[in-house]
Amino acid sequence: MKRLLAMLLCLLLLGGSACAQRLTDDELIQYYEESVYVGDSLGEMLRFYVNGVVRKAHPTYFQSLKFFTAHGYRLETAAMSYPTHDDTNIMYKGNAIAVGNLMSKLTPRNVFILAGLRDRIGDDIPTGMTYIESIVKMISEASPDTRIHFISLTPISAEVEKKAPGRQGKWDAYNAELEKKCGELGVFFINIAPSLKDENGFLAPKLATEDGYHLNNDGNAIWVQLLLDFAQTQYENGCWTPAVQEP
Amino acid sequence: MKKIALVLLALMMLCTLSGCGSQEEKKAASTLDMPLKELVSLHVPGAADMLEMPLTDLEDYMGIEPAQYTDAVYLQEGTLSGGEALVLRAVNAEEAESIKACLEGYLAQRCKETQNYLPEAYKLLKECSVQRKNNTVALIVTEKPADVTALVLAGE
Repeated sequence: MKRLLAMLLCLLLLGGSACAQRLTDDELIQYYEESVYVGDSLGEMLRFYVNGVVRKAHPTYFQSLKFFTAHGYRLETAAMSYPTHDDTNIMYKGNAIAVGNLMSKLTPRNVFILAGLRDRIGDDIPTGMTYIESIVKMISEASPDTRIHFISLTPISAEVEKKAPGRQGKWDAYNAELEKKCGELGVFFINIAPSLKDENGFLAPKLATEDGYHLNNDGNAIWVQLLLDFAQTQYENGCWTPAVQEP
Repeated sequence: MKKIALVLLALMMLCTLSGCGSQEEKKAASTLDMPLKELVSLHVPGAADMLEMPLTDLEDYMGIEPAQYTDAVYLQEGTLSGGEALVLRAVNAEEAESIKACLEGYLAQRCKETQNYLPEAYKLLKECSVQRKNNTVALIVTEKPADVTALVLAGE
């Protein structure tokens, strides 16, 4: 309820802030300080990009954004209140940990979550939505002041679609439901899928790795830009202001 | 005369052997003074192109705290099936054992993640092991990991 009211307040302020100027990247990046990213191998590739490319050019960018990723990490596992014995967990200080526990230990300003690829969550959207509800409830209890963000599933390539016809359509449907659910729960949704698609609605080949699921450096560059754009939106909505603003 | 020749020969052999020994000791000393980043770049194939990961990840993921080591390097290839190099010089033998255990846990986790999901990466990982020489501990994920690790640790 508290989160819904905060979201409504942000939207109300939108009118007044519509003329806000574009912040600089140095200012926008502050949104991601003292934050945590939780997810699967898509996040692992983003981690490589952030550390290998972004921070080479800007050593302080994303300096306090901690990535907790695991190949094949499921949305189902993220929704569990304890680590699973049957599948992959995220690790913290050498031990498997549930998302809720991680939040209570770190109490980050923001958490960003992207998982569902391995769950093939588009095949069972209602179950996916119950996972989302569980995750929000768990994080809200563990770290009430943490702003929760879900990131859309990224698109798949046309080649992957050929092997699994209809999958992209299911993922688009999942993303649409996820956006609605985030609105209902008063948490944030960052939709990165449209900017990664080609004219046919699939992951643009120039943005993809060979497997047709993951993003290469060009794809991750777009993802990072979208994160900066999201921070701008949050600023315009009155949800956030950088601590250090350039004159 | 024969005896004198034999004694001289033995003395010559003794001098030659002790000369070799001191050269080996000099080699060992030189790698201990060398930063690990430089040491790894000398011996690990592709290290120059690997991404340098923040050392805070050693603590966040693996539970290895900064107070446990004097030097560390953490490199990853930047692909899902890629290699990596984690080498640390512990402050003492006890911490070296502790770091070894943490890296073994990390390797086990990586194997679990990749076994059914990334078979190429799993194939590479299951050939690897964490090795320790004195206070230096290494996990190197690459082709022929035992050979490469031996080279890295030779002078430690």
